[in-house]
Formats: sequence, C-alpha cells, structure tokens
Amino acid sequence: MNPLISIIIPYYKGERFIAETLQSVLSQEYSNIEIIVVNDGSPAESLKALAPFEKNIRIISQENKGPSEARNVGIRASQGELIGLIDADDLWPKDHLTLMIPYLTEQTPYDLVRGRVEHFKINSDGSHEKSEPVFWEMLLGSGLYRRTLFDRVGFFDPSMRAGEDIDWNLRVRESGSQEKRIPEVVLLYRRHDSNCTNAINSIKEGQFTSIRKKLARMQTHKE
Amino acid sequence: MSQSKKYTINTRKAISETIEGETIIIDLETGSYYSMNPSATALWNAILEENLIPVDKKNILDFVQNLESEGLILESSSSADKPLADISQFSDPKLEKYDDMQEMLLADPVHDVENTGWPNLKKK
Repeated sequence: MNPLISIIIPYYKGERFIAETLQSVLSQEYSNIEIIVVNDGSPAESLKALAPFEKNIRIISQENKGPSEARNVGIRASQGELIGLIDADDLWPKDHLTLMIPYLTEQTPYDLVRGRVEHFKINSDGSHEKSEPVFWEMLLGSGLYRRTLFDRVGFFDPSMRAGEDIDWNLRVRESGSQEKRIPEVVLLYRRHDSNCTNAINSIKEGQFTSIRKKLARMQTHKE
Repeated sequence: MSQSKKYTINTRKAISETIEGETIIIDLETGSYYSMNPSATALWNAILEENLIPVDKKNILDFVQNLESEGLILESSSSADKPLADISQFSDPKLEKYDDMQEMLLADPVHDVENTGWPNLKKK
C-alpha cells in the first residue's frame, strides 16, 4: 500500500520557522506526499521564505481568513486519501508518516491515528527545553487522518480564528470515529516566548467558543 | 441581621466568560469546565465585584460552598466596604461540571503565563 498523503500547512507571516517545518516534512521516510501551503494573506515579504521550496510544494493564496479556512481550502484542493496537518512552526520526526500509515489501510478500522507530542523551546541563549512526550488531543499535527473523516464530521469552523482545533476534535470525538493512539513521538510542538496578551486572549476566546458550541450540541441532542 | 461573606475569584485557576446570562468557567489547573445558569451567573458576577454574599439561604450557601470546594473562589478577608448583593437574583443558582475536555483545555499556551502548563518540564 502506497497511498498519496496530502500535507496541509496554513501560512501567515511564518517566515521565521517555515524552512525548518518544510524541511522536516520533506525529510519524511515516506515519499508519496503532496505538500500544500495555504498562504493566508501574508505580505509579499513573508513569501520569500517559501521560494527555496517552490519545486516541492504547491502554494495556494487567499485573503486573510484565518487558519480554519486556510486548512479547509488546502484539504479541498488536495488529492490524497490521507491528510496530514502541520503548523508553520512545528516539526515532524522523519518517521511521522511511516509510524502512522499502517493504521490507516483498507484493512484497518481506524479513522485517524494520533501519536505523542514533545513540546520544545529554544531560549534566547540557545539552550533547549523540552517536555515529556504526552498526548495532546487538540494538536492537529500529532495526527494522520482519513479524508473520509472530513466528509463525515465536516471541516474547521471558518468563523473561529482560535480554538478551531478544539472544536473540530470535539466533533470528531462525538462522531464516534475510531482513533488509534501510538506511543511514539510524532510532533515536536514549538513553544514561543512571544505569547502576547492578544494571542492568549484569542486562545481563551476559542476555548470558550468551543465549549459553548459543544454544550449547544448536547442540548440539541437532548431535545 | 442576615449573615454574609465576601469572596474573590481564584484567578490562579479560574477564567470565566459570560454571554447572554450564561457563564462558562474554565479551571486552568484541572482542565474541567463549568456552566452556570443566569441565577448562578448573577451570583458569580456579585463575587467578581466582591460584593457581600448573603449566605443564610441554604441554596445560596450550598452553591457558594460548591464553588469554594471546587477551588474556583476563595473567602476574602478584605475589609473594603462593598454593598450586599441583591438576593432576589439568586433564586436557583446551578453549576454544572464537565470533565470531558481536560486534555484539550490543558494543552494550551495560556498556561505558559504562570509556568504551569508544561507537563513535567525538564531541561536538557
């Protein structure tokens, strides 16, 4: 089995780390992949960082609509049976795909596979910090997904600019989809110093919105 | 004379948002979350404003004790002069707790602010 895997990367002013991210995707042991970078209205300056990779990636540009719509556009434009998602600052170990593909064959019942995440941070003095490997359900980059999963549970909510990953994962869970968890680390999640107040407020807002949407679904279900 | 107490929100743990009379609280330490009906929301807002809470009615006392045992509020020793909250709004305060999103609510840079979010952080 040698399925095409589409890897979708939403991109907005991500020039600082995108080369590392793309390199980690291009270094995958599994090679039947298409990489779609959805430029979410970044300024021209930010696009220069993509130039060295032009032969290996497909770039789709849209006006700035947020990461939800960027991922949705990328998924809709992609051809793969399986979908991988990674943010423009995170990294995959080179066996990310080879570890997870075996659980998404025609013979396996799973809709998605998820592995562990290691959080890492590079300090201004060059020192590294990292966390113990853990499962973080909401981090989309730690999973590999069947395309049919999106047909069933829908896409990311374009009205949400933060917390859309929580909302989508809740819908996946509620849909009764089958998830396989593997113990290996499949995502290196970058922590930043620049957790500015705006970003934190927007994350909080996304969490509250996801909770309200979930409670509303529960209420509808009861009725 | 009615008995009253003053409380403060335990901001180390609890963040809340109110929309159309319904309040959602997230416990940042446990990843649990809570929903409150309009009556409970009125009481929560009175606590936010550090008003005196009349606790001689059983339903109000039970509710406040529930919030306290969940660690969402703390009894305040502040002597600042604040008004007694209007008890008529607190007829039927209800708090519902949910634990089904812990993994998702804890996996968040929000917690970096107070260095509590990294699981077993260790230096290389």
